[in-house]
Amino acid sequence: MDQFPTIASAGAALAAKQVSPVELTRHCLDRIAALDSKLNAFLLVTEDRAMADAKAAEARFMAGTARGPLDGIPIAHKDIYGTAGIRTTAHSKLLIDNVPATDSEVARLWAEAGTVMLGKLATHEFAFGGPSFDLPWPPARNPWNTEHFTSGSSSGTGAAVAAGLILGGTGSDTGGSIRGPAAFCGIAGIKPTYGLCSRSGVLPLTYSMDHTGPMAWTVEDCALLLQAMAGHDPSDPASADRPIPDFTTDLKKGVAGLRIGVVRGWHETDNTVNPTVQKGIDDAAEIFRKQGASVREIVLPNLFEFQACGFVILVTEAYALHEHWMRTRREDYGELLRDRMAFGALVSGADYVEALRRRRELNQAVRAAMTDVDILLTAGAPTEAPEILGIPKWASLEKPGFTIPFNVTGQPAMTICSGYGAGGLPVAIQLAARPFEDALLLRACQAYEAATPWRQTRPALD
Amino acid sequence: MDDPTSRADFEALVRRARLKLSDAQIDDLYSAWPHIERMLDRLRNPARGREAEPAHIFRPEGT
Repeated sequence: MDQFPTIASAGAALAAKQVSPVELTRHCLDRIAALDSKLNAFLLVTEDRAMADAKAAEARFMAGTARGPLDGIPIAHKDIYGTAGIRTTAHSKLLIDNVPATDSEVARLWAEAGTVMLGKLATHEFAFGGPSFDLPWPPARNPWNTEHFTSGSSSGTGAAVAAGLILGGTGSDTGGSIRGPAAFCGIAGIKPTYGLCSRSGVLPLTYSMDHTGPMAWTVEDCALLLQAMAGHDPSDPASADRPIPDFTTDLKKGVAGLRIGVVRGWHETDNTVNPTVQKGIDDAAEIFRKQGASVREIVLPNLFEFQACGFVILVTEAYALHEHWMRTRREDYGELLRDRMAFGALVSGADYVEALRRRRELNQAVRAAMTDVDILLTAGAPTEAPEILGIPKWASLEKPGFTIPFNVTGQPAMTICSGYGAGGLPVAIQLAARPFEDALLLRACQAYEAATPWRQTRPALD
Repeated sequence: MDDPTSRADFEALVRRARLKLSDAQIDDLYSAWPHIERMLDRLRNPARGREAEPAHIFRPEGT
């Protein structure tokens, strides 16, 4: 068996009966047993559940009743996704004994698609603080260099996918928590349009900016996973009731005729990226141009405007959710989450409303700027992953990130690997599209990925 | 930009929020508060028109 199967390649091998779901699952469980002590990607490995899922999938393949491209595919869930009868902790002492009675809607949909659930993955505490060393479990480590940070908060998913412990997994993204770990771990991660995928049964952080989404090694794998989790869910008040396209139909049609806007002001002025990241952006623009897209600069409101708006909304809504425990069980939180979230208690109601008013203005500005641009191109992160022990406590406040603008606007955005830096760790570009043009976004990302060699290299952990 | 919040005023904000923090914890948060103040200053825009409604205003179905 290929040491690093993708979902697409494993699916083809399963369909051709070249490998069985049980063999594929055993392969992943063996890798977890051999490598996860270095990575801390898993909070819980559900081996019995995984083998039961795999045997059920195997029976379907033998009976000719396989359920589709995800049947028999080993996955895992970020530990804020509720899983029936299986501990769901948010990586926090506060929920250390929390066992939901029901699956989150996404966990249910992926199970229905035939996936094999291997366990629950590390996150920053309640998908916000991190990396933290004062929680019941250690933080995940970057497979490219375990002394380095994964970013967060979907840290375990980023590490586990990059290391080939799972073929895909769930993430959530409130300010960049899918796209940050995807960037630092060298994988693909898409934050779908707000409302495309259900948040029901997923522990919330910020109601108006939380997104669920998939993470995997390739763009195509993300498209396959997204297909199985997108759709209207009446139990999620933000869920959009609209038809879901087939995300793979046009995936490989290329970018000819598309209009790409490079948001140079963000990565060349507001938060200057390192030379490798800049080269990745420049090379991507050239690749798109050679493939028949038109590429030009686009000017959007600066990153500081999005950071101010997004952070104030994020921290205020998060504090409202946690206020009771922040007053009564404050010491049970890790220091980073506890202290970052405290700012939410100090922001006035008027400031929160001003942030909401600014949000509409920013949304309108981006929408207006994109009337003649289909895809935005900028950085996924400004550098390679830094050392995990050297991250200043307030670093996230000092410079504006590249991901939060699309949590503010709700439009789909994706980070993909764009090379490897001087330290040997991955760097990433980020692309974004108009709301509900997730399929177009995947198509542009696929065109870039297919034209570059970055998917040929995996972390050397073994 | 408004005048920066003094240490005493910041402590009053913490007390109003009913957070039970030590002096060292208040000092730590206060050291980062200028970042938050800069964000709040960006959001407070007296020139914003009264018609600029918050992003969560919605239309009930059918209207």
